[in-house]
Amino acid sequence: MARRAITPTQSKPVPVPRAVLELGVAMAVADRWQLGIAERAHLIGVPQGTLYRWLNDGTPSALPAHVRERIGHVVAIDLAAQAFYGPGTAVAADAVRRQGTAPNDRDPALPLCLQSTFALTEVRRAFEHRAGGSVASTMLPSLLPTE
Amino acid sequence: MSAIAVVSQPGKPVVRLQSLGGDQLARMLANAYGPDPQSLIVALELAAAADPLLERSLLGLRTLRRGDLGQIAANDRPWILAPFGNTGSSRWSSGGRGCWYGAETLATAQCEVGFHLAARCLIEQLPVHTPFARMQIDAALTAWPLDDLRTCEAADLRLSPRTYIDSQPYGDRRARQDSAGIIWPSVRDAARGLCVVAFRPVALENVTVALHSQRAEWDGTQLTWSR
Repeated sequence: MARRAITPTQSKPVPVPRAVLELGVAMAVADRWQLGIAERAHLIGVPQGTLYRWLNDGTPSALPAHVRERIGHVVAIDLAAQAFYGPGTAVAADAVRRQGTAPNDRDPALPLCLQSTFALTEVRRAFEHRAGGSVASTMLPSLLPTE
Repeated sequence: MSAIAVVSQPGKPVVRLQSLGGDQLARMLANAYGPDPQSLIVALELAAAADPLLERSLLGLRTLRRGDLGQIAANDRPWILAPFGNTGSSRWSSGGRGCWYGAETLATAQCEVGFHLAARCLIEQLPVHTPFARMQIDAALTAWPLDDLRTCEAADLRLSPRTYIDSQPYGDRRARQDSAGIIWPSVRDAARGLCVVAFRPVALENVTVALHSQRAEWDGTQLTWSR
C-alpha cells in the first residue's frame, strides 16, 4: 500500500486588521490611565456613540486620520512617561493623571489630553521634553534605507 | 553637544574618545499596547507619524549621500544620525543641512549648550526652576581631516559670538567641498575649550550612547548643571 507523505502543516495566524490594532493601542493606554468611556472618546476625538460602536460592532477598515494622529500623540505621551518614571509602572500613568506638564504646574495633564489636538500636542511636547527626547530616535533605524 | 577629547597631530587633528565614566543607561520598552506582538510596532509607527519633528528629520537625512553612513553600526545610527536630521540653522549651517556638534570637554559642552538654552528660557520666559534633561553621548571622530580654526585671530568674524553671518557661508561652502568638519575654539567657554562640527556621519565612529545624563536648571537668570 502506497504510503502517503504527511507534511506537518502549521496554521497561519490570521493577521489582525491594522485599525483594530490601532484602536487596541489607544484602549491599552486608556486602561492604564483609568479612563471611562466618555474620556476615551474624547481622547481619540470621536463621539462616544462612535467609539461604542467600534468597540462592540467592529472597527472600520481604516481609522480617520485625525483619530490616528491623536492616538500617535497619546502613545508618545505614554512612552515619554514610561521613559521618565519607569516602563509600565503605575507611577507613569499616575503622572499623566495627576501631574502638570511642568513641575510647577498644578493643573494635571490629563484634561489637556482630552481637549484639542493642539493641546494634546503641547502635552506630548512637555512630556517628551521632560523625558529627554522623543520616540523619533527609537524609530529612526527602521525608517532609514539600508545600503 | 557631546563630550569628546581632542588629540592633535601636525596638520591633521584627530579627535578621540574621552571616557566620562558613570553608569551606562539603557532604555527598554515593554509592549504595553496589546497582546499582539505587532501592537508595539503599530504604536511606535503612530507616534512617529504624528511627530512633525521626525518628519523634518527624515527630510534632513535624505540630504545625506550614499556612503555618508560609512561603517556605522545599525544600532548606533539613531544617535549619530539624529543631529544630521536637524536641519535648522546653526553656526556652521545656514539651514537645510544637519550637523553634529561636539566639544572638547563636558565643561565646554555645558557652556555651549547652556548659552542656547538660556537664550531660549529668556525668549520663552520660562518659569524659574525649569529642569532640562540632557543625555550625554560619548563619541569619537576618526582621523578625517578637519578645517582647523584654532589659530584664528580673535577678530575673525567666523568665530563671532554675536553673529553667524560669516560662519554660515563658510560652513556651507566647506560642506559642499566635502570637508569632514571644523574644529574651533569655543566662544561661549571662557577657557576657550575646543568645539568640533562634523558635516557627515562617516566622520564619526565608536559612538557610545548616554553614559550619564546631565540636568540643567533655569533659575531665572542663569542655568546650573548637575548630574
